[in-house]
Amino acid sequence: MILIELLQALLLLAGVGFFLVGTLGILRFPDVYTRIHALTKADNLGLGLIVFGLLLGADSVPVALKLLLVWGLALIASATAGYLVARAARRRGVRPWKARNWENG
Amino acid sequence: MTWLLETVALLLLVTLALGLIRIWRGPTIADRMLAAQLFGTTGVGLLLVLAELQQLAALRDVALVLALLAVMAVLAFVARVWRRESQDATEEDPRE
Amino acid sequence: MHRSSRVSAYLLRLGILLAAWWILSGSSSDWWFGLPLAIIAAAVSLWLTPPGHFLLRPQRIPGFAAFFLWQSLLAGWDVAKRTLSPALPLHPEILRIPMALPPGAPTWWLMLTISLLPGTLSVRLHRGRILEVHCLDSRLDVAGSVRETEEQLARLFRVEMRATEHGHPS
Repeated sequence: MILIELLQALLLLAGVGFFLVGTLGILRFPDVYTRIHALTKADNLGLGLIVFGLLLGADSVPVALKLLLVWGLALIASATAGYLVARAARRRGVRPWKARNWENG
Repeated sequence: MTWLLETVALLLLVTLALGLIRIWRGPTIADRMLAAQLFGTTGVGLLLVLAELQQLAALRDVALVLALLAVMAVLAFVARVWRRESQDATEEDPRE
Repeated sequence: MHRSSRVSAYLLRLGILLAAWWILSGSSSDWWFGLPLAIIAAAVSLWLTPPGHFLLRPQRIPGFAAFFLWQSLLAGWDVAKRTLSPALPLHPEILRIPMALPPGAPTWWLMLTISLLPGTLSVRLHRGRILEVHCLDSRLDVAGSVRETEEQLARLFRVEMRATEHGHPS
């Protein structure tokens, strides 16, 4: 029992960690395209870890499945949103940021 | 377990608040549209944690609806605001 | 469209809707309401979106899920490493990658999936054949990982992949 709670705590804290990374990413990354990367990947993994953490404490099968369903929908929503924002930015001619020392890199 | 869930909920709120800095600073509208994604995912996580913390099963349904609404919000924004504003901008050119 | 494929599509959708009702209504399942609703909803969905050419193979879902979960983990880890590194190691580039999957549902799933995988983001699709992908690090084999995802989806949907050349910078 204590082992499950420990695992749950680990998953929840790791999840929050990835949410923090995602937010840090959209603050640090240089342009809108790279920020979408940070947000879609880090936040979705963060949500997934939190969902799996809560899953271990779920008291019935429908509740557990509902948690997974919410994650699935959030993934689709986030991937669609990221694509739409990126496409809109591209159409509008927002230039992607490029590394300066490209030739050496 | 309660203190842990409380900490998690609080930290999620902090990430949401910090994310607002980017929304405020922009600089392009696209950066501000990221708010929909940020609030969608973080809000869903927060609601799921609160559902467990307060033993309110209905909050999971709220999370479900929020996930659906997040994508609707972006769809509406792209279809209406952005497209109208960029009508005078260059049209789609596959060769950049 | 064959009659049998319409029937199997109806049964598949009915099954999904019944499962959704079971999940949404929780343990106090009110089937007197949910069952007729699912039967009607499945019929309406068949009328609004007739079954396409692409058949999802349910037995392939676990394999794809495992691939997806592992890649999501790598994607989050990759972003975390780049974000937390003081030097901010990014070499973004927009690549144009020819699609090997046929247009339609498989391509849409590909575009959504690669946005959640390490270092790639779908930006635009040209004539259903060429996908613009924004990558975080163009020094990595981006075209190769897109191709791997295409193969996974081809197995999931039972479709043939087209022969294409490799992606190149735009």
